[in-house]
Amino acid sequence: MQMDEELDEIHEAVYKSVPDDPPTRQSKLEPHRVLILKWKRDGRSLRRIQILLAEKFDLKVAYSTLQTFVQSRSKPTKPEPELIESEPVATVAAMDPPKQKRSAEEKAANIKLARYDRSPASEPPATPEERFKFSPERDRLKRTKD
Amino acid sequence: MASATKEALKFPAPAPTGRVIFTEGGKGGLGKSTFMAGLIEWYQVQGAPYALLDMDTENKARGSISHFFPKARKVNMHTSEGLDSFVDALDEGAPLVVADMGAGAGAVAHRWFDAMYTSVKESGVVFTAIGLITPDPASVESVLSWGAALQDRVQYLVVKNSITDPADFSYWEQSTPAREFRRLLNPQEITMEYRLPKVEHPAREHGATLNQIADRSTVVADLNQSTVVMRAQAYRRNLFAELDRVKDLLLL
Repeated sequence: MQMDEELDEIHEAVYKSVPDDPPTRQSKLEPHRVLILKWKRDGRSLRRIQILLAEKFDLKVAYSTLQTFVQSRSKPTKPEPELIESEPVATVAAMDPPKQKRSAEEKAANIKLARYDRSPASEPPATPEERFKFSPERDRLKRTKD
Repeated sequence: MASATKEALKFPAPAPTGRVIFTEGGKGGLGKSTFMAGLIEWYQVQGAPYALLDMDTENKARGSISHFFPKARKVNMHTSEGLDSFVDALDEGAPLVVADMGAGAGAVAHRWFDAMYTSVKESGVVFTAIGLITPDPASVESVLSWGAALQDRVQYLVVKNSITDPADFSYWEQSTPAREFRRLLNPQEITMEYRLPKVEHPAREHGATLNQIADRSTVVADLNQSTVVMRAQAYRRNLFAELDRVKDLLLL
């Protein structure tokens, strides 16, 4: 079925009869999204950000809420999937006898569907366990004051 | 029914059976014992049973926790089995063991962890390491050194001790190693506010705790002045509020 196929009369009537859903409530973290993501990029832990939000904005939020918020708003780190030219799906155009060469519209439709119908996102590869490294002789903090 | 292998079954980590809370001994003069005195009084208010170990055997003057709590058990941690006293105290029935380590405690403690941690962990004991920092970068380096040695075998509580007013913690807040520490080891942080010399100095001189000053139960005239009492009440209130925020690191 095409994504933008016209509705028949019955479905059109139902579509028009259903009012818009009420606007979803904005996360209370949203006004601070840019700051939160900047802190995260700076290397601050989620727990530290949780504390900072409470200290600076009197904003108390559960760790899990903050974690979900950051994960959903962080830029994707994995590359965009390669465009996949899948088998032509049943479109109106495809009702015509199959052609040896696909038209530009069919190719675009397939690519569009391939983007839409992504396979479930795989987990990023596990990073090797990171150890915190510090040697006071080697990593002495640079003194900026007398 | 097919039997499940141990690898196939996953159980949640069991609840800890005991917790050892210790100060990261390192640089001296950071206010470890002052903070620990406040922590002990917080435990008393919580009604939490604890055992108190004074491992600062080198500090014979007024800097050790025994000065505030004379009944603290003194332990010489520089013997080969010194830190086994953690486990001994837990065996005696205290679910919480609070230990104030001395300034030279690092290497000894690190070796003990390397040798004993696995066995102790299997018995259900968890650890909280308390690192005090001040505006002095050496205090931050000390905390970071402990982190490098203990890694994630302990949970971390960093106490920002405002020994000056105002206090600049930029070495902690902005240095790259400290950021890495926070990223990898997820410490919790609290702040201990600046205390006026008219409160702090006689308190240390006479081993008077915040509770004693706030409740006017000392015999020291300097500590019974109304403004001193009010200041102690405020310091206690604010410190306890900070400790309440991180109680998951301090209780079972």
